[in-house]
Amino acid sequence: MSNHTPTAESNRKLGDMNHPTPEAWMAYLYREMPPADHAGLSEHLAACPECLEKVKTWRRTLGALDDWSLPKKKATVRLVQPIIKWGLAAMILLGMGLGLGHYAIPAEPGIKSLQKVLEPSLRAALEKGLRQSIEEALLQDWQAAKRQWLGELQQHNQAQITQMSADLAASISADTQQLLARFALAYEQARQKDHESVLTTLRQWEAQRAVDYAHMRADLETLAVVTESELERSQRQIGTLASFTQTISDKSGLPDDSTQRQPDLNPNSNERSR
Amino acid sequence: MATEKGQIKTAMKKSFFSSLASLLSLSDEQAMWRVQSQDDADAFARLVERWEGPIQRLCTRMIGDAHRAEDLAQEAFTRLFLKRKTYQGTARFSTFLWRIALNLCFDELRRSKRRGETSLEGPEGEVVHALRAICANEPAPDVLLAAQERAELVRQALLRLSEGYRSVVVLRHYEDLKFREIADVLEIPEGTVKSRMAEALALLHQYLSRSMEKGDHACQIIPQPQNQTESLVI
Repeated sequence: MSNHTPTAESNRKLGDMNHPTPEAWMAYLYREMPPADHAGLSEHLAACPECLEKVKTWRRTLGALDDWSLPKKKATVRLVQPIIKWGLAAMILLGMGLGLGHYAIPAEPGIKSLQKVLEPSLRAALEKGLRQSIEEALLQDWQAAKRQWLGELQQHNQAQITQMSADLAASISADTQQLLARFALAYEQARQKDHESVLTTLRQWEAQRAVDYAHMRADLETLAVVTESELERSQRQIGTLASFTQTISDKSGLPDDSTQRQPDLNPNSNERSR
Repeated sequence: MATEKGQIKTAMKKSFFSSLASLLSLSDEQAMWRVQSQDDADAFARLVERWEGPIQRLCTRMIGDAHRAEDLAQEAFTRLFLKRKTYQGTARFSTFLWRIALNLCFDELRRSKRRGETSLEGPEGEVVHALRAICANEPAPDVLLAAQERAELVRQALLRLSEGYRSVVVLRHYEDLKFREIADVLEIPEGTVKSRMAEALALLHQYLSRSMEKGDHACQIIPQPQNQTESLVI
């Protein structure tokens, strides 16, 4: 189901198969939507059996929930001391006034006429006195309440200002800490980067050195091989010369100095020169 | 002079009634501010008195155990006092308190799950209530028994719901909070609250229907005394 605003739902035409969402129905069941939208959904219910069945099921379930009731704690009635106090005071004064009036009346035949004369003035005086004392008491009470209210308001404002200052200081401190943390992170990252680039360079140098060493070794080996082959060639040449000298000596009949042992130029060679 | 006196009288009358109103009903937020700033025990006692019932009912419906719910309710107020300094004056007090109580209920449910405990007993408050009704010449015992059984079915069905769904149902249907208020308490969007409510009702309908199919006779329509409404077959 699509998520429609209550206004869109109430204006939706019936017959286009767009049903209100379950969220809308919950607001409908608990009457938490504007009256116009509520009326719109009621109209939809009247024309849509599918939605009607759903709503009926929900209503039955809600009704079943009411089967589990818990005893409610009775609210205690707190005596309102000021009202009781002043009410009692007014009653006592009235009672005293009536009592005084009652006992002040002489038990004479003319008492009724006296009563008729005195009662209104007595009542008026009593009422005036009562009103004055109540007004004075109310004035005192009002001033005390006003002082208390102003004091509370001042304290409340002070507490709020203190709280706001603390919050502001905390947020500034938090911002500073955040900035320091970011700086530390950036510094650490830069240091890591430098370290890695140095390591990379060192590795490259090491690789290059290894390559150079390999080349040098190869060159040296080549040189050694060439030198060895040259030495052998030289030895062969010397041998050849020696044999040639021998041949000449033989032919001429001279003593052969070549029979003297030739120095072994290559300690590792075999006895080819003999 | 006379005009001033008349003005003073009018002002006194107005302020008398407003101070009366303020004395009569110190708002929750004002009381909590007093507790927070002055450790005012009287203000705290007012809050406890006002909220003890709703919190205990919430705990009973969330964990399904009236005994434990009493303890949890007391613990909620203890925690409220301990956390008084963290209360934000701009937020509603009720939201703060509901949240404390719900978190305690969630913790208790997790502990019970780890220990493998289930709440076998029905809500004792209802049993006592039924006994009192019997003594006070209320409906016949068989009718009361059927009512208790229906209540137990509902209790079991609610306990089968997940914590998220159950909390929404309890707060909306039993404690009558608006969906927006529930969203503040649970710190989720209002739309999510409503969709959870719809889903929870669908699940409850399933659970209760299955219980009916198991042949529970409490589900039959039982004629009620004239002062009560007829029960519905689910």
